[in-house]
Amino acid sequence: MSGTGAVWSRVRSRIQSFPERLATCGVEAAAYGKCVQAATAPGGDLRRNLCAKEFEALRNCFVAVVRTASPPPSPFLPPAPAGSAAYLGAWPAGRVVETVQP
Amino acid sequence: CRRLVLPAPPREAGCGCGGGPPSGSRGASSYSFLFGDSTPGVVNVFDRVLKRKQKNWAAQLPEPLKYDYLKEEVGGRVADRVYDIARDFPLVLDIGSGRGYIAHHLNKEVVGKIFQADIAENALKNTLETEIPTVRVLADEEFLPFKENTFDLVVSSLSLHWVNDLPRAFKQIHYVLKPDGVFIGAMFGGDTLFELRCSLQLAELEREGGFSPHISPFTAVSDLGHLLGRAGFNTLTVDTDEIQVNFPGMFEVMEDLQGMGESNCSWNRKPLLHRETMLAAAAIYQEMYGNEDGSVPATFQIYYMIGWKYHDSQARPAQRGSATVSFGDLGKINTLMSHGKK
Repeated sequence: MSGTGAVWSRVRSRIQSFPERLATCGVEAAAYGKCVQAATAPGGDLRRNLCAKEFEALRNCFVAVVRTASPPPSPFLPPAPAGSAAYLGAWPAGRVVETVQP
Repeated sequence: CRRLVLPAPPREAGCGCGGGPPSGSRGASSYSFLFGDSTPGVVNVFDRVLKRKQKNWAAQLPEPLKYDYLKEEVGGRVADRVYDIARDFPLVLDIGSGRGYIAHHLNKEVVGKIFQADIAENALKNTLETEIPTVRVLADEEFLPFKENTFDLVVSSLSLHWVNDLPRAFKQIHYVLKPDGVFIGAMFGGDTLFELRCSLQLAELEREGGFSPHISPFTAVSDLGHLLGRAGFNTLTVDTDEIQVNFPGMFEVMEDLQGMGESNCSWNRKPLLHRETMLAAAAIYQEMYGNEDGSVPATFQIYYMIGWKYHDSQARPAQRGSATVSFGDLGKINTLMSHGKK
């Protein structure tokens, strides 16, 4: 409950990097998604850590993304000067989702 | 005119009834006298104090228009339904108005004066422009501080899904309406955000071994009809609309929901959503529901309901056995009608 909002903005800026990281890790995300989706089919059994391997791969990729762009603007900070990375316009353009068999 | 009226505490509000509860506690809540204590069997689902804080926070964001697109759209559709009724309404009440999305689309010819009631004062302070004279009231949807038979029209857009005691809220709306008054409401329906609901459930199952509700429960269509009927409304109409909004990913969906003031406030919500669960849910959302261009859809199902308060002038169903023509004569309807004209 800090009055300055320091904790909140710090946590918020971390979570604002998530979409970018997820976009970079499209392949692993698709593999994990397919594993879970297969378990929801009739006859499948979704239980804890069923897709742990795929999730580990996704998580490692996620953590390893190197942040090159500057942190996106938070609603509490003054607006970023013109020319900085336009965060919310960044659709995952050019991302091709295909599963690559290792 | 712009005036912020604080709500009268329940014991002073409303009817000015001559008789209090017979046991002599005269000052006790007139709400209990009129509407009973909360409907038996109603569970207190939502934390209204938290909802008020969330709406206040959302209303003071620097760019409110960024997140308001859905409410703006539904407010416009409710206003369309108001225009469809061939009447003008001198006095109108907007319940859970937020920043006044319905009044924004109405004009002076149809509406004389509008009262906008909401629990969030920041929303009432930043209302959208409208040409209709407005009075803004800080009031809870379940505790309306108005007398009986006051309003010609009551509207509500996307706020009743956070009400704990919906039967009681409908009874109150019926109470403040004049005879031959109409209630037009819009609220979220059962299929809303089913993609988000499923993704979070599957992710929590796989990551944590169980799941807790993150999306609030919505009313079913049939229940809506029953509730309106029990509250005393006639000539009910309920129809449904589905709006699908495409987002880059699940995180943007959650961010927009928070910006709209629609964050979860159920008492039984889990206070923590793990980052790994969020990541897993986003991956599942993308895989199971993603579009070809990489975006993900979020579905909002809206129920629009229209109910009328009884008045003698309204058409009533005919008595049994009062038919003058048989269905079997339907083939001869042309001759029957020309006979009638003569």
